[in-house]
Amino acid sequence: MSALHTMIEPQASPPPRADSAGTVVEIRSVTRRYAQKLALDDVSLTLRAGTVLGLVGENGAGKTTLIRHVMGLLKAEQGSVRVFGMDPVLEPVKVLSRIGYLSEEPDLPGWMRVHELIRYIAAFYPTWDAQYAAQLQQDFALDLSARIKHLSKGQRARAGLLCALAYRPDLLVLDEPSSGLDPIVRRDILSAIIRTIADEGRTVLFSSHLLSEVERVSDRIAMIKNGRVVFCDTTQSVRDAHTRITIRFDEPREQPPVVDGALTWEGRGREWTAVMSVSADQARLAASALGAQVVEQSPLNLDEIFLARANRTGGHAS
Amino acid sequence: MKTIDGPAMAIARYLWLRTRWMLAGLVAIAVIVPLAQRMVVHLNGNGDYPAEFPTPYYPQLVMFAAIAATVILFVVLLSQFCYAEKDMSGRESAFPRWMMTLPIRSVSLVGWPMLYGSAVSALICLLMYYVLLPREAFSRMPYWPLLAAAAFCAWMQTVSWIPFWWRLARVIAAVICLTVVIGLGTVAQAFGVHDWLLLIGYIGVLALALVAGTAGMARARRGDGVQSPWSNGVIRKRMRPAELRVTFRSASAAMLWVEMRRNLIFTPFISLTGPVLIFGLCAFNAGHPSTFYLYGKMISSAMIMASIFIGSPLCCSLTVNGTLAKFDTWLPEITVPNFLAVRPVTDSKIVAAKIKNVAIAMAVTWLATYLLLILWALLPNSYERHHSVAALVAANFKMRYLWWGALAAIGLPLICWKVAIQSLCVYLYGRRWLINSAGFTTVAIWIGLGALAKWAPWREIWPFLPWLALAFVLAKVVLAVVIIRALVDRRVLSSNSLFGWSVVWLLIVSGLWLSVKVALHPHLLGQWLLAAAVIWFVPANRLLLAPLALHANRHR
Repeated sequence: MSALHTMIEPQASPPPRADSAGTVVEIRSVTRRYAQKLALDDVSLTLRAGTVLGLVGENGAGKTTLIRHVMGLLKAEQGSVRVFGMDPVLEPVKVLSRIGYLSEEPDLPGWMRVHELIRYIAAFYPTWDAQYAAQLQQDFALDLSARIKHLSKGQRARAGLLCALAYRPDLLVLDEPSSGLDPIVRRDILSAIIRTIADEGRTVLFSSHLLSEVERVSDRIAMIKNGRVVFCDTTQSVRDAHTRITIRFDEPREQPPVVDGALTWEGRGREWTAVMSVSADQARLAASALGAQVVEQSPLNLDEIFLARANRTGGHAS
Repeated sequence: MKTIDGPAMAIARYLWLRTRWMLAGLVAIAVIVPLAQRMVVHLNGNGDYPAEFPTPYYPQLVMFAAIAATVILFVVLLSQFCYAEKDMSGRESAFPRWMMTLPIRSVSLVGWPMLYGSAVSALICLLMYYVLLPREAFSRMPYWPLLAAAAFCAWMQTVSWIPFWWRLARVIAAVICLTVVIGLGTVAQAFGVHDWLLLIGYIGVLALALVAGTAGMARARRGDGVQSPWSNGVIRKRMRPAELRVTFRSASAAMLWVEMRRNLIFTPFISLTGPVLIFGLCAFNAGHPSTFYLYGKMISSAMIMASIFIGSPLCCSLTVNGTLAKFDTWLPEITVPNFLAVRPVTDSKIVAAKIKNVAIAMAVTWLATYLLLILWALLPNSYERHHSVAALVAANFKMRYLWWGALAAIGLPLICWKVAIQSLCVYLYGRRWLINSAGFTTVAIWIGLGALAKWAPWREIWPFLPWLALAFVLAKVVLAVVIIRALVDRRVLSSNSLFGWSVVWLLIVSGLWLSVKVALHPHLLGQWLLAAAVIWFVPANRLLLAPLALHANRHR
């Protein structure tokens, strides 16, 4: 990891990395349908230069669809997408030359050898840094003469990562890059991408199911559910805005109480535990308004917030 | 849930699910063909056929259709029994990996599908006899071809399931198996070997297939057999990171390289393999008359050979037509892969790389074809034992032929190039419904044109033909303007590229028009019609549509 950090040097004359307002990605009221399914429903998001935005959500929530809009692989049916102030569908060359992209299954051509792949990709990017590519190849221990189809999944991910990083893109877009990979490759991806790119003032948009990783590296987190953005805020604000509270009533209850902001309820009889999308103080106030006694109150990690938001705890949904 | 007893039943059930529709097709052929033949005979007055056909024509037609359908079904069934959905050019066994982990012995894993496949192959052979032979001959047929078909299937399965460390070895092994299995019966019969001895011989061949298949499966299950004995870096060149500094000149050059890797060897190889093999065989046939007759007239071997030489690249260009739009020929996906879609390159450059690649591949293919044609023309052939086609041409040479020859030499690659690229816009659009319907639409248009040519009142139409040609050219121009406008609106094609494309198109059209004008007799075709025909022939709108179609596929 340290070797990776030391080998990355800022470019002598970095290109402008955002539009005049400092916005790299601007998504406005984008709606997308696949036949009857509403994949994105009036989604708006802004990604400012130098930030790392983690995109979380269940499978099929719309994360990949959103990322594909940013890449210009999908055209917005309604609303607009601007990347570096340009429409990625109308200006694919200008936009894509500044984006590094890695997906869960980098569909690299299996028949190519690694050195052929690197030569092929390099031809598309004027900013390709051959020295940096060689360093990454050595760090990732990629066999240049091996065919892509003979590489392990981890090595294929590393080859895809090399191709996404070696031209030092202004925006790095990662769609579930570490799914199904071992911890060493995940560490490579995280350290090489998130921190180094962020250190250079570049921007990262990535989606992941590994919420601990998202929590560790993201400046901001956006959660998508059923094609809508549920929240989009800094990691600390998201955590501050959620709390778990256990309360005790004087009399046993059949059903949990109805409280604004309660995402899930668990319990029976006199004691009930709620995950609430309010601050700790507001949760205590709500408990006293119900005439209940607060037994325990604790902050939540991102996993717990995600589960509560997805209503998958198995308890009563509010 | 109902369970299945034992591996034999489980494998039978799995194969049944894979092949049931093909098997139903075979049953349908067995039922329909005799009925259709009887019905045709009945409708034609019990064998009273039209005078122009010296032999019973319609029942033969039914029979040939049935044989063609049976052969196609056999090939598809064979691929199903071999589990050939995996990459057959790979080194690993084609046997499904999930089945290798089943708790049964390798001999069962191999033996049961081999038994079922062999039985079905023998039945297909029986069906062919049934369709092909008259009733009295059917009862006297030899039995060994049934076992030969079974052995063929068993060895194809074996070859598919054995891991090979050299990928070409599988192809070579398949060719050897095919030759040995078919050659054994043919040669033995020629030497008068008794049927029973042949049957025993084929049972031995089947047993050998089982033994070899089981041994291969055991190796595949433990992961052996895919590494060559010399794979420890002695032969394989190790790349050094410094070599990464050598890059392509541009993105277009890189894309052209990818396209060339796919088509520059494939097209000449596919185009020339058949002609070279036939040419090699015919070299020993000099002086023998042709056995091909059409409407009672002998088609000379020289004519057949020339047709094969010219027809083979044409057929190959049809194959290229269906696969050119894909990034990888062997993948079923028709959408643009992310790997290419996220690269900063315009749609028109991607299309240009494909068009250039086909042009180069066709030039190479035809150059090799012409060299072979010259070699073939210089050798003695079946016209006369001691004369060559070249000698015949020299004896009857006229200056006009030289011009026609040059025109044909340029025109044939151009036709192949056109055939290969003309449907690019359909495939690049990446919608299955369009690809599926395009074939039917093309056939329907050609049938319609054929009907028009046959039944239209040409005497009345003829004076208006120049006006019709003009209307056609105008329609093409109007359509081009509409497409160009769409291209500009979507910023798919820059004005420089558009200008370049237009100049190239005009040069090709002018050159072709001039060449044909010189070659044709002045009274044969009017100037207007010739110009319209040339404009119709050289693709313009379909080429302009290609980047637009790719744009719609890449940014859905």
